[in-house]
Amino acid sequence: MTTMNPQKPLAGESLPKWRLYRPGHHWRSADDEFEASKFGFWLFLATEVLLFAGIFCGYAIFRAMYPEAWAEGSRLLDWKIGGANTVVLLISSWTMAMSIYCFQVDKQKLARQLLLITFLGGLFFLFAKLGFEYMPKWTGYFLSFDPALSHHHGEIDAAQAKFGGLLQFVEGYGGKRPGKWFDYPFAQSPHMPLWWGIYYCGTAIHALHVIIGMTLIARAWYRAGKGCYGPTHYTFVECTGLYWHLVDLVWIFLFPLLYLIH
Amino acid sequence: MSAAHAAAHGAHHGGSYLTPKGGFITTVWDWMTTVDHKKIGVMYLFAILFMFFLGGVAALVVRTELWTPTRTTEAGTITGQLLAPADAKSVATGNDWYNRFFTLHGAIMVFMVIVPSIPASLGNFFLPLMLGAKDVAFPRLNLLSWYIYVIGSMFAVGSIIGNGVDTGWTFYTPYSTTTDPNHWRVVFMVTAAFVLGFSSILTGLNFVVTVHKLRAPGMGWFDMPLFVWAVYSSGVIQVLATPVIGITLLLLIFERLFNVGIFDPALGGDPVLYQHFFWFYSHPVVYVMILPGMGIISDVLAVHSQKKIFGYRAIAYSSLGIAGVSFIVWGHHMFTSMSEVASAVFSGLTFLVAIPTAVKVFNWIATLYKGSISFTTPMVYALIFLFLFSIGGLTGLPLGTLSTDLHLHDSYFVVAHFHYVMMGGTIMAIMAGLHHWWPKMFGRMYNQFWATTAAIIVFIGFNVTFFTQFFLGVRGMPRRYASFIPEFQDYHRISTIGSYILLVGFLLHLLVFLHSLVVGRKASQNPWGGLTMEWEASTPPSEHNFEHEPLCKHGPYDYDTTVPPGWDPKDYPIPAENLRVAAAVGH
Amino acid sequence: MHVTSNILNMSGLGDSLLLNVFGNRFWHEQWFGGPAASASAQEADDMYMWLWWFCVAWFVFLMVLMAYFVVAYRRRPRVIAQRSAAHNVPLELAWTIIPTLFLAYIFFRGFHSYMDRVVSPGNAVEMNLTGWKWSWKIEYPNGAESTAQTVIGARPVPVFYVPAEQPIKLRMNSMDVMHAFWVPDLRLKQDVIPNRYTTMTINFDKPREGETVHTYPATQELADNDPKYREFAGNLYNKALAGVEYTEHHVFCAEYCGTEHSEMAAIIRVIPPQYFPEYLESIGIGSKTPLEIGQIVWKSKCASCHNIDGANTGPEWRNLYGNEHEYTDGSKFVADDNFIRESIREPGKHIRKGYTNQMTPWSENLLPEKHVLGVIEYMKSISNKGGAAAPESAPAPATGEAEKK
Ligand code: HEA
Ligand code: HEA
Ligand code: CUA
Ligand SMILES: [Cu+2]
Repeated sequence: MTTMNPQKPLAGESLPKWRLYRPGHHWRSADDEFEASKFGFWLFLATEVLLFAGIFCGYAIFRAMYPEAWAEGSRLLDWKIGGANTVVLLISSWTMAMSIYCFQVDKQKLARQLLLITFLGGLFFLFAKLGFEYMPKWTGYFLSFDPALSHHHGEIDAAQAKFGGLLQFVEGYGGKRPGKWFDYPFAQSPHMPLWWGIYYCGTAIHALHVIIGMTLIARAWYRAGKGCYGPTHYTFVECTGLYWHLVDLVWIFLFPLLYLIH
Repeated sequence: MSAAHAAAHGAHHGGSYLTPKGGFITTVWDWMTTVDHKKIGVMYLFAILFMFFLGGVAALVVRTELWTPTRTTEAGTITGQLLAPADAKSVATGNDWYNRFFTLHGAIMVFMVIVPSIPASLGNFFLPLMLGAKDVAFPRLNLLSWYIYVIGSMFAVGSIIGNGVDTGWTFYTPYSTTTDPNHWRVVFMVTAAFVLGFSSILTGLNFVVTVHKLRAPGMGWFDMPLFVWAVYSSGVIQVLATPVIGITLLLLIFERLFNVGIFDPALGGDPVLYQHFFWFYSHPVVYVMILPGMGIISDVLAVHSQKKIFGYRAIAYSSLGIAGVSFIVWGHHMFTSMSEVASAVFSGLTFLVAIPTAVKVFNWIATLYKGSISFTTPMVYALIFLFLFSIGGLTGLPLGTLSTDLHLHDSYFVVAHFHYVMMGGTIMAIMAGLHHWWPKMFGRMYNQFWATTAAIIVFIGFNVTFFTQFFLGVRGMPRRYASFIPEFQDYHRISTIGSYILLVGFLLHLLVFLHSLVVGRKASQNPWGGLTMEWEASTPPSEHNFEHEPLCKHGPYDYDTTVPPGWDPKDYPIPAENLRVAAAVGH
Repeated sequence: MHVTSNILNMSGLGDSLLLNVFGNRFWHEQWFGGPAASASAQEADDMYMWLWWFCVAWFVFLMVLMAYFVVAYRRRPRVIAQRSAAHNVPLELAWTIIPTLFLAYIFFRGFHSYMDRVVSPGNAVEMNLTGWKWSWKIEYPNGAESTAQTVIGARPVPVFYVPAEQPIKLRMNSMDVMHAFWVPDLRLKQDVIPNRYTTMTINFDKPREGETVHTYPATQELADNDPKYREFAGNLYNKALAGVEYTEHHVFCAEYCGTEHSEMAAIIRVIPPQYFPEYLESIGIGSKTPLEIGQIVWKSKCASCHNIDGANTGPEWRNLYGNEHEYTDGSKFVADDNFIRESIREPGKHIRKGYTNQMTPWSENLLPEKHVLGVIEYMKSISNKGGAAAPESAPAPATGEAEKK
């Protein structure tokens, strides 16, 4: 078999690592092990779904209790940022799946590149979340290149800009914080703090999952460089992929609930 | 700790998993990094027994404080402030100590003892053996969950050292989010429960996959021992319920640290929502506690009466049934804080869960019929289990009944109920299982006479302690009370005396076990004549469990037709005729 | 509540034990220690007793069976386990269906008597009940608040006078954390939740058979000499109740709420309905002086933490007013009218050195302005710097505290 991945041969061996892989001593075959790992991982994903179910439940209950706060809150979110992030995550999910396919057919180089793209997708997501959403909402500071700034021309307070103008302060925008920290002067519903509580809890826990997913992808990328994965052994990449799809899926629910439904 | 000791002593049995790998350091390192399910099981066992001891000490403190009513007396001084430091000025200080101790007791017993207890220790050790497997599906994950357990326990101990928390094991909001405002203790304790949840999930997940994928060739689902069925069912609950407590505790932590307001009524949040979340986990988890115990009882009853279990399929299915129904009854903990309609629905559903349990009890008793019952220590414990668990379960009925629960809720009746099921059920089952499998785990017998004596002392002490509490509750004694009106004192005193009898019983057990480890007679391969696969392994099992991959050739309880493997009548004085007849039938 | 303190005190233990142990009355007494205080509570008791016999029957049946098997089939030399069926479908069906039927019956019966008790009848009088760390108060229909006190041990607890044979709908609310209002004699409890009303209907009967009936002292002198009424010494004795017969019922807080959860009790005294209107009138707060109001407020809301003769959870009140005190941040303030008012409304602002802030958050409902003024007046009366209201030298507190050592 030819490998596209030029590799340092192991001592006395010319086979890539993935071909040398032996399943754990308690397995009858590598297939059994692969199947079991996947099964176990699906169970784990079920627990993750249930974890988020708690958040969704809270969302639904408070929505029923304080519909006006929920309507007002979701109007304060910019669907364009959420939408962009949705697209990015969807694309990265696709590249992730493609990367697994490439490992299955032993296209090592492409597989790693796809992993990299997936990783960058995650990075973009986090950046948008933090830079374009959390920061302005929490503090009132916008990144100077944030397109949303154009809506707030009149309110920019140049005197408060920071880091040589990288951060621009918009008067009366910040303070959309959860619970006790809430400090937004123009709130209409008294239950706004609660909305932001749910918003931050939900998206922050999701962002944490993005970070975990990226860590897994990074590990897969690193080990793939050593030739650990290939057509007969790619369990870790497979599970990473499942995890990344879950991250995507949760966002697919969070996005419309938070941004679109008023 | 004791692991090293156990390992050292295992040296006699060359080739067993207990055989040290080298010098002291090497051996310790080997145990700390082992992925062998047996070693992990043993480490869990000792950790859990240690935690049980800690929780028990806290219980004794609680009971000691309740010896006197501890009311402010007329002269303005306080009596019976056994817990308060000598310079305590007010009744408040004494109460605070009491509150911390019962919280400590409850949290340790639930999160660190009884939830992990059977699956993580005996389950870890015997599940693969009973399936004829070499290990659990994910051995490294298994080690990870052990370390997560240790980390979680350390968080708990951290908060205890930092003076403890006073929230109760249920962490009800808004009390838990506002008490002790400037300290990390509560956050530590909640984090501990959160982290322990992960350990629980990983263990449960591991077992579920193991059962699906690693059964010995020839072993179908209905050839599995009932202990395996039970651990499987409770694993499913662990996987499905624990994440919900995870998110709940996470939100609670956020609430305390960042005041996000989800459970805070002052910010429009809903404290009752917290209760829903909490019980959505914590009710199913009571069956995580009891199901493995029921599994042990099924096995012990069959082996020690040399009798095929009655209604195998009914027992197996009822485990699954209990697991399923357990998810829809959580509201019975909240009859006094929910709407009437919701209460009615949950009350109805609660009774559903009693049915599969009743079926199991009937099956167990029917198993004894025409058996050959020997009064070994495990069997005595199994009978104690039947006695105590029946009381515990039956007293669940007045609690599930709407009109009586309005009176009994949060009273000592509830305390008595859950001790009868948790201690009288699960702990008795652990004791049964431990005595049943002890010879296999450590290769030595223990003194049956003293072990049985200890069991009887525990039985008596238990009833003295907790039966009185039913009366207390019905008469109006609320739970979590540091002090009470003098009318209740007689019952409380009886209960306190009982708790010390319990201490004596458990200490005696401890001695018996130590004695066995040091000078116990060597155990044969199959001292009780069990038919399940763990008895085919050598005693104690070798590192890879079996010499050859075992085949499943008979059902787990086919006593009519099969000779128990490795049978040694010396260990288990059964008439020679018995053996011969069995052999004649089987082969 | 009438509780038999000694379980060995079974009536007629000697002669009719055998009859007794099968008698419902005997066991009702063992379980509840006294009669239920209302007809619907009696219904719950009946349900409980039915369940008790149900459980006993099943338990005894199963245990006797078990014991029999264990003895009959104990391992014997030369006898092997006999063969017997490992399952039996009709039997298994039977023991699934029969319990199911019983359980269905239990559910419906319990549900029925539950609905009877939680739905309040149309003629119910409404009262507001407020709970906080760690006491209770009732606001009567005429706006008056419960003010009476008695002691359990030496701990002052509020007394609520309510009429017999009159359904009362309590609208309940908590000012801080969860509490639960439990009246064991009514076999009823309900959580008291912050930021939300819950309701509970109580309906006491006339004294039932076996209940102890007390008589309110006919004169103030009698009250002074009776420890139960010590708290009524002085002008707190209520003439409107003189000689009235009443029954007494405990209230406990049944939801864990912190340090003094176990002290958060109250007493309900049920008086014949004809005396109730007069009682209501007598406690209307309109006729009281600020000092009297302050004293009542202290007793009912502050005394669990603030003593007037020594430190407690909160600073001592004696000689508090008008004196300078040190606070945790090192600052010093003289406790004048405004400072006290501020400390009540914003307790966390200045915390006395050596204490932590444990005050119930202030709300208009907790302490209306009139009460705050009363408290200030009361503080003056027990301080050496209290101005005109102050006693000459070391003040003798106004409530019989002098008897304390
Ligand atoms: C091991 C744990 C365990 C188990 C198995 C159970 C089993 C049951 N529990 Fe229990 N329960 C707890 C642990 C457990 N519980 C704990 C810890 C609490 C308190 C938590 C807290 O507040 O701190 C609690 C509280 C609790 C409450 C809330 C009380 C309150 O706070 O107001 C209720 C109410 O319905 C209840 C009901 C039941 C029922 C109906 C069962 C049923 O599953 C029981 C079924 C068993 C039987 C019925 C007996 C066996 C059968 C027979 C002997 C045959 C004959 C029977 C019939 C004919 C019916 N439990
Ligand atoms: C597994 C669960 C479990 C177990 C086993 C126990 C065991 C005991 N419990 Fe506990 N208990 C709870 C779970 C448990 N408890 C929970 C969840 C609560 C509620 C907390 C809350 O309200 O938040 C509670 C509350 C609770 C209360 C009510 C407090 C209150 O409401 O004010 C009381 C009071 O009597 C009590 C007493 C006891 C006693 C005397 C024991 C005794 O049985 C203990 C006996 C044990 C020992 C004395 C230790 C001996 C051990 C060794 C010597 C080690 C060696 C052992 C071997 C080798 C086997 N417990
Ligand atoms: Cu209030 Cu407990
Ligand atoms: Cu439950």
